[in-house]
Amino acid sequence: MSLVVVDHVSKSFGGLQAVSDVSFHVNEGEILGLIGPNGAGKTTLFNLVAGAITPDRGRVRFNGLDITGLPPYRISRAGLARTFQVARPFLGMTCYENVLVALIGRAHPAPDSERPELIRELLDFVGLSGKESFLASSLNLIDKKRLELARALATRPRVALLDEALGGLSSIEMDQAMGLIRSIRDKRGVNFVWIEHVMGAIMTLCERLLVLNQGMLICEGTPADVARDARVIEAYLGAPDAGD
Amino acid sequence: MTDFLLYLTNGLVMGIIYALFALGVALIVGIMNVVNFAHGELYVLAGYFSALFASALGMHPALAMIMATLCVFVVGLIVERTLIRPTYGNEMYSLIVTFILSIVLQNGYLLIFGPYPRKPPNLVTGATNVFSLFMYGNQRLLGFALALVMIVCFFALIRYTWFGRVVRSVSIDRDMASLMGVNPQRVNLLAFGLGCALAGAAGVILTPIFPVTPTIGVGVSLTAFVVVVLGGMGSFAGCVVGGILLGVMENLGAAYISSAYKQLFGFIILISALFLRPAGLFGRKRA
Amino acid sequence: MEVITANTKKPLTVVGIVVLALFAAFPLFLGQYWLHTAIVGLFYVMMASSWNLLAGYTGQVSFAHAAFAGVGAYTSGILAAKAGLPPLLGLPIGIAVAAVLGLALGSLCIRMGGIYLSLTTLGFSEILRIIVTNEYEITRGTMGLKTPPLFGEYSKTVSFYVLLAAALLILWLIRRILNSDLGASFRAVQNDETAAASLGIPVVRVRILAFVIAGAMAGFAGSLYGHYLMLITPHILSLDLMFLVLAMTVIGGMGTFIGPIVGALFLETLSEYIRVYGEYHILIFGLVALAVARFAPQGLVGLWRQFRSAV
Ligand SMILES: Nc1ncnc2c1ncn2[C@@H]1O[C@H](COP(=O)(O)OP(=O)(O)OP(=O)(O)O)[C@@H](O)[C@H]1O
Ligand SMILES: [Mg+2]
Repeated sequence: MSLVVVDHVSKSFGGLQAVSDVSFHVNEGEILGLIGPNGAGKTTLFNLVAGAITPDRGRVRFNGLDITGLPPYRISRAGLARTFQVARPFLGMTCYENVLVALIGRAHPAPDSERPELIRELLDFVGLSGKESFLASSLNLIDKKRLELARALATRPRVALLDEALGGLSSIEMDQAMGLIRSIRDKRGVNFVWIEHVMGAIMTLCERLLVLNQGMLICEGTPADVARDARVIEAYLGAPDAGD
Repeated sequence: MTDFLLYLTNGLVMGIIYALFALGVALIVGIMNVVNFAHGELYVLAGYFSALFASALGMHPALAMIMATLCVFVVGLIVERTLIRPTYGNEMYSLIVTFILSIVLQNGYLLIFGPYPRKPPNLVTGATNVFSLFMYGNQRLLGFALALVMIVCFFALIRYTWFGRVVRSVSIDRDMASLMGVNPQRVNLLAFGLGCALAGAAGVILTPIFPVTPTIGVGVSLTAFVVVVLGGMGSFAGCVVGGILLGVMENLGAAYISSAYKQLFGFIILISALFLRPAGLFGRKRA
Repeated sequence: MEVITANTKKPLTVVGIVVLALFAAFPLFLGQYWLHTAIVGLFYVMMASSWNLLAGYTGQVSFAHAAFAGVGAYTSGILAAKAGLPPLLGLPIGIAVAAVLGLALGSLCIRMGGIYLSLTTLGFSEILRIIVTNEYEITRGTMGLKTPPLFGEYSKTVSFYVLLAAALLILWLIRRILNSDLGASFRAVQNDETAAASLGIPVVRVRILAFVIAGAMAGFAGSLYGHYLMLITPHILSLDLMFLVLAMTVIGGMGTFIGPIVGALFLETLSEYIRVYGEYHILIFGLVALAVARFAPQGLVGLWRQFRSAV
């Protein structure tokens, strides 16, 4: 069964068609890759699914429930989590408190007695053991991303949307992060939609890829298929190098 | 009918001066995303300076006006450098700091100048028969002309200079502007100083007509906020339109409806406009 | 880390109890004048602490807090003076009206943040002040509205204990809120609304709730204060009073529980000493507040913490 069904979704900002008529679905147990040149509309598509912005046209269904236009907190409570392209932990709060907020935000907040255990377990899992009382602002980039991941997991999601989880990481850190993502899927049964510019990583980790260009879905298939697709090659080669 | 035209003229004269000091607020909000609650107090400061220079130091009133405006410009630079700069990126603290600053200045004025109204001597005396309909004070007419000239100069500055180009690009896209190799600290400093100088210019123009007291700055600040919000919340041109609109509405409203509730209309406009356009005075979407 | 907090918590509680006991004994050895100062100080403790809950913990810098105190004071004051309603009945009505206005203003501001929210609350506050000043028939304008004391005969000692109990109640409530899930939501919303919403925090509800709670608390404080002064003037909803509340919070330490308490009591006491030399206290508070905001954004509490960790 498809967990997420995105059905002919469009969104424009002023004259700019950021996402136009995109449809796709996320299957149980998969890590779905979403790629495309800078400004292709990937983040906007995530914002549409997670409820941060409302589509002009089209519907989004999650787990059989129509979530189009629902506020983000309701979508999170329904079991759809997300991370941000630029990590957004609560900088003025400790790692412990960051995860705590996610436990509180659940539709049925975790009982008080279970919280310390749950939080410690999640922080251990993402590799932040012993940093419970560190302020998020004192963490380095990868730890901030780890914290964001722990926080997203604390909402107990069925599906997590990851926006450039590897951006800015060294290659060793990248390997760690990829291992982490795979183990989350295997151990916790979380499905992923994953935006990434690091092609090597996405090719090894994803069974299926979506390619977005200028707001349109131009290709869908296995990494090998996508790599051979003429439109994809043109989109990447033809795209001006924005250089960020 | 003559009365009506007189009120209208009053509204127009006040409106242009409103526009002049509101442009200062608009500039600072647009460039720095800071609302300077002490804007009115800088207007008052310019009034005190001009009175001081003209009466105590015996300067020519016109020279006193220019000197006072320059002094307020320098004060603006100092305020930016010492108080505003440390709050960059923290909207909450810039609000709090300028709010405290406004109270400090009010009470400082009270201590130094006392509660009594102060004014410099008039530049011109007498009155002119306007359109052979009513007599209108020459000082007011001069103030109107001066404010108009200042506004034109401001627009020329924005249109034709390096600084103006930066201002325009920042108001389109803050990040892009910083990519253009602009030193944001210097731009902020200049914008703040210039914004304060606009308040100062309005202050020296209006003080001979409405003498300053330590606390009238509050009204000036609030009026400026209303004008900036009213003026379409986008452009500097909107500020001018908003200023004239408010000036005329206030004067007609005070004459024909109720003078006690004169200010109330402004605030209702302020709140409704903010409610309709919560993205902000400049309508710029913030991530 | 935990060991340290465990060690410091106990002495702090002991200090708290000693300070409270000393405070409660004030009427025994303070003259009428200083008792008045203590009462005013307690009013400001309530005001600064509740404003801090809104501004320091949810990041909504409202300039309408004094206005809410005014709403509470004028509501129960007018009901008592014009309709003869006993102040003890007027008090809850005052709180309720302030809470409803908090709901209205909070909802109005919900799509705004930062400077725009502050401008709106400022406008709201000035609208109330203009109405109260001009509706002379009902409010007696700047002449002031005479109101009866909260109950029985007027007594400073009784008023002191009433205000002390009220302040303790407010502080206890705030403490409870801060340690609850709602408190964590407040801080999450202040840190990053978008991220908070993505984790299931109902940001709109949380922000409005903060306005309602803070508004009700200010209404409560204002109403009690009005019945203590027995004369309500538009000063209570002025920006001057708002400034004092803000300065106390900033000087004490915004976003900390103790900060506003320390700031309010410190400044109120200080102002009595400065008053001897003339009306300079506002100017001096302002200068101190500027210096604190510039050099020690965490206020006195922050300085104390730095000092502690340095030792
Ligand atoms: N809130 C917004 N208002 C106006 N334009 C927007 C907004 N959000 C995104 N855009 C525009 O929509 C287009 C798509 O942006 P988006 O962030 O979705 O791209 P992306 O594929 O995530 O790019 P990148 O790989 O650089 O992150 C861009 O041109 C962007 O400028
Ligand atoms: Mg993106």
